[in-house]
Amino acid sequence: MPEDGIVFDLQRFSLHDGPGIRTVIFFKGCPLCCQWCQNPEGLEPRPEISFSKEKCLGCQECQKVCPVRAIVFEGTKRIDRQVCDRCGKCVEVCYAEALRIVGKSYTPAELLEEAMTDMPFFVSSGGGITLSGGEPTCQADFLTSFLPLCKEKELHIALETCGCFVYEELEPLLSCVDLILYDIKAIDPVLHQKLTGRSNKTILENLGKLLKKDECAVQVRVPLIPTLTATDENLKAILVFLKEHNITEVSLLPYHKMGESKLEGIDSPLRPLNLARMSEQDLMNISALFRNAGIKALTY
Amino acid sequence: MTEPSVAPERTIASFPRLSRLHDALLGAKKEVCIQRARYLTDYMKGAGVWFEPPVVRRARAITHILRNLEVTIYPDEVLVGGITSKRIGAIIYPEFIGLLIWPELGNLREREVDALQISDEEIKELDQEIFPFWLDKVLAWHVQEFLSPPEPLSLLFKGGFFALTEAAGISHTAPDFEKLIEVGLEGIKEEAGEKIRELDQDPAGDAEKLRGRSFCRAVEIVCDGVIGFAQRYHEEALRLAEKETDPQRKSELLEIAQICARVPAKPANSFREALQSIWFLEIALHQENYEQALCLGRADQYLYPYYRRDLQKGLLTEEEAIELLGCLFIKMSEFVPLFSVNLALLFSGFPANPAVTLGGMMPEGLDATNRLSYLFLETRELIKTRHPNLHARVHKDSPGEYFERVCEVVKGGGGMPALMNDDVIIPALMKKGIKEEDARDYVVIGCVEISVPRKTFGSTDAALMSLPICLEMALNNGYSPVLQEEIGPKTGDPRAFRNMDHVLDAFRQQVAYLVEQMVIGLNSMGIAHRELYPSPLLSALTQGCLDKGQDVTAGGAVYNFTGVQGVGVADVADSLAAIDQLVFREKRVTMGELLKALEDNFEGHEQLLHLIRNRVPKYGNDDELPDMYARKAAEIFCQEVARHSNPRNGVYLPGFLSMTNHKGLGKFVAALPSGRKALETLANGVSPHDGWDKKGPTACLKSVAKLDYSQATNGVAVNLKFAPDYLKGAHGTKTLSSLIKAYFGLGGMHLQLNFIDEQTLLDAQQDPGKYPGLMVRVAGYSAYFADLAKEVQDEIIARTEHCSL
Ligand code: SF4
Ligand code: SF4
Repeated sequence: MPEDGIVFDLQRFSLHDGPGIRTVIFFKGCPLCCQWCQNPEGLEPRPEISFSKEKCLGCQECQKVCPVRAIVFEGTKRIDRQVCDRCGKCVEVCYAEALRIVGKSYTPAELLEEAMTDMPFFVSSGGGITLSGGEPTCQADFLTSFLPLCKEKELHIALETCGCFVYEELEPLLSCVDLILYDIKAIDPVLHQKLTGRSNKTILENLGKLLKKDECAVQVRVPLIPTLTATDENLKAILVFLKEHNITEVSLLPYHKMGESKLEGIDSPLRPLNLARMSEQDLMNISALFRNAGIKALTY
Repeated sequence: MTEPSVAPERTIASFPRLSRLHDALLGAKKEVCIQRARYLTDYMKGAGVWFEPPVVRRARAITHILRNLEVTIYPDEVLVGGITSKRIGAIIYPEFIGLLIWPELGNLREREVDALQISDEEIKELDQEIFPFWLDKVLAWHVQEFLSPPEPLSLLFKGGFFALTEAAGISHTAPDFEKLIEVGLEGIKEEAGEKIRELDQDPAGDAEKLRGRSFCRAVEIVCDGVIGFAQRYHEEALRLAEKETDPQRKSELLEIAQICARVPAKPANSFREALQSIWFLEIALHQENYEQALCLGRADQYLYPYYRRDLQKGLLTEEEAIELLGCLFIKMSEFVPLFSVNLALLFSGFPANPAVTLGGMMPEGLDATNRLSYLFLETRELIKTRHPNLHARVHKDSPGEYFERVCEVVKGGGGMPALMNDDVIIPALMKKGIKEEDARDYVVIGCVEISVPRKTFGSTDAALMSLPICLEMALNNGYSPVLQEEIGPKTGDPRAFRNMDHVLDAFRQQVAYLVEQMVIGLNSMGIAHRELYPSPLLSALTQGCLDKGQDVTAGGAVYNFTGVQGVGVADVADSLAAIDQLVFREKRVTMGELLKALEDNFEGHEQLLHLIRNRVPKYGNDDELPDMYARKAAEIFCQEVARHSNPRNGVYLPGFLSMTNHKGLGKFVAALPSGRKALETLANGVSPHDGWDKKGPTACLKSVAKLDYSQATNGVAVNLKFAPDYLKGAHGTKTLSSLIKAYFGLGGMHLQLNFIDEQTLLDAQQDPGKYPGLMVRVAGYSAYFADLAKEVQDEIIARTEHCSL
């Protein structure tokens, strides 16, 4: 039996993660832990329980069914994460959807069916599916059985990756992938370690290998986090790196706070950054920086 | 085609006349015009009228109105003719439902919804001279007194079950303007005269045929009436020209005078004459029957030869054509309907919906898109007027450029044009017995209704009926909880239902009952229209009538239909899905418990409410269970409607649009198993319940495309709202067009899009003066946001903002 995939969201009619109309599949688990993570509920590989206090009715049904007495009623918390064994029983009875399971198992065939639902829209728009997360390559085994099925159906496949993977594991899958969206966050290894919890050695190496391999298109994306990645120093270093690798186009992803509002409901090591959103002017200045260096900067 | 079709960069600044006229329109107050009512009453008070055949009486009455209706030419106008005596006027039809406004006259100026200006003298005249005369001459009174059994009308007056709009008039048609501009009214008169001579020579003296003689006489009379009206504009233009000191305006006025002397009597010689001729007829038709959806049809098609000829002869430039179209758009926006407060809620935003249909397929099957199609779109982009309601037909071979241009214009806001799918509509029409070349020539009437132009009297918006109240009666053994009355047939105690078949069967019986009552009411009204207030002018412009010697109301048209709408498909679908899943499949609640919760409006049943809202899939999310029930509910209504025929020898056609009736009808429905609470709004058209489509537009459109539209030939309304920045730029336009193409490929019939952001709307709601021209698409029609009832505004704001992140 092939391994199941753990997916925490499927987003249809996504227009900014590759060409055309796309369905984005969010895979659970990520080797990095970026401070600005937009999908913090995707960091942990295992399914987890999220809680939204806004939706809670206070009906206490959850408490009645929890086998290990992990339900607590204090402040914004509902679950004692130390005690909870993630059995999901409370979610079952929480009709208000205050408690939810983040991460659902799919067999390759099941996920294929979900991936295919918007096929007519993919065909008309030149779209397809985008593997995102978390970090999809964390579930390389699953992808090994899933991606060939997709290819058989002629789905256009984009892969969003942080680059932190074992190259040899991914290589056999590359023939199935049409486009790789590759994040570059920082060039200085120390900075990278500080921002994401991991060194960027493998990441930068892997990108080099992918570019050489020339099997699928690679689009580099740079998250612009004020004071963290969007510093003069870091951006200049990124420019140099891109030049060295003859990369002529990048996507810029300006910071937004969406991910931080999710932190409260899960058990996450991250804390909200609460940075101000990037101004249009700043974004234009950064685009100009890239353009002047001969690199086309795409913003959405 | 060798002409350029890329839109040049023109802005409103290139059209100073248009922008002045548009400003004048936006600056004008909406007023009531009592002149039609006055002159109609005047004529009908004459003792002699009761000896005239009804159709002749009608022709003479219209002529009398046209002889007296004030003529005004406003500054800057090149296209002339006031549909009322006011810049923006509401017409009163006392013979239909005009009297409903009687008790509200004093409050018209101040009322919250759709306020209208009227002077004290005008109120007095209505109150003392006009309205009292009509008390026993109103169509609905006649129906009640002589024609209809009591039940249908009692259901109508209770509200909540159906609205029978034929009480207010019929209209809803696309007359033969093509013929008008080709032969002129004199040509049509000639034809009527010919017919009379033919009858006079008929040695058999066939009674049926002889009946046609008075009809043909009426056509002659009313044609003369309209010609006389144009003549008055000719004189007025001459009078103004004489006084005019500005030489340029003087020559403009002289040209107007010249044109009004020719059309609509003679065939149109130019693009401009064609427009003027059509506009005079629109004015006249509005005096004859009520102001709803007297449509121009495929104007880009029949005007094209005139446009091309003028262009080739160097008599017209593209810019001049746009200016003229703009003038027409503005003239078409100079009237609003007069609704009583209750009706204003059902039809909020002053909808009248004279529609223009663009593009699509020619009768021979080739693509019909031409340069004028693009110019109509451009005009719409330049001035976003209330009217006309624009519809763009598309088919799988429509040029990509046209498709994208349509999307681009929709993105500009105001929800126009709406898109119609030829590939679904044409085969559906053929199934209803319409010839292929006629089916390919279809137009959109009003909001979304479908009809063959020139040949049809389709009464496409004859009634709107609530489907959720049928389900509610099925779940209450014929009882209506809001009205607290036994209404429908006894379909059994729902607690004894053993499976979904029992539920569906009870629902079908309730639908069948209500449809039957609706049909009896409508057929009685149809007879009353024929007997009391026939439409000789419309008949003169409807193919078949002169041949048969019959008025449209008597079945003279080539095609005769009556179109009725079902409202609240999604509410029924979501309710059936909930019953199926919770009561029968999972057995989580009993029918008794569910009914108790509905009775309590879910108070004290929050758990159940959340179970229903969050654990039962909803229509609009590409989920098979509710989508299957949506198909089923629509099918039941379609089947029950299709059983019936109208008095014009035609069949009933079902459709699904609601204008804003889903709000009004919702007030008569208690809590539903779908999780919708008591008295809340119902779903709009065949769109999902507001805010319950949570998986984005692709899922929503897939659900919607699952309905069987081959039966819903009266048309359906599907609304989708977007935050404008989500589909920015050329790239966004491409995405939008591929979204629509795929949806149409899946079998979707109709789509209208709103591009507005919530902030703009909230702002507009706070300060209506700030955005007088902000258009939104309400249901099947567009309206100025500021004109809408607060509740309807709220709904538009709440409508799922797809992908606003
Ligand atoms: S079951 Fe859900 S709604 Fe009820 S108390 Fe627990 S978390 Fe809140
Ligand atoms: S997931 Fe299971 S263990 Fe954890 S809180 Fe819920 S019921 Fe208790």
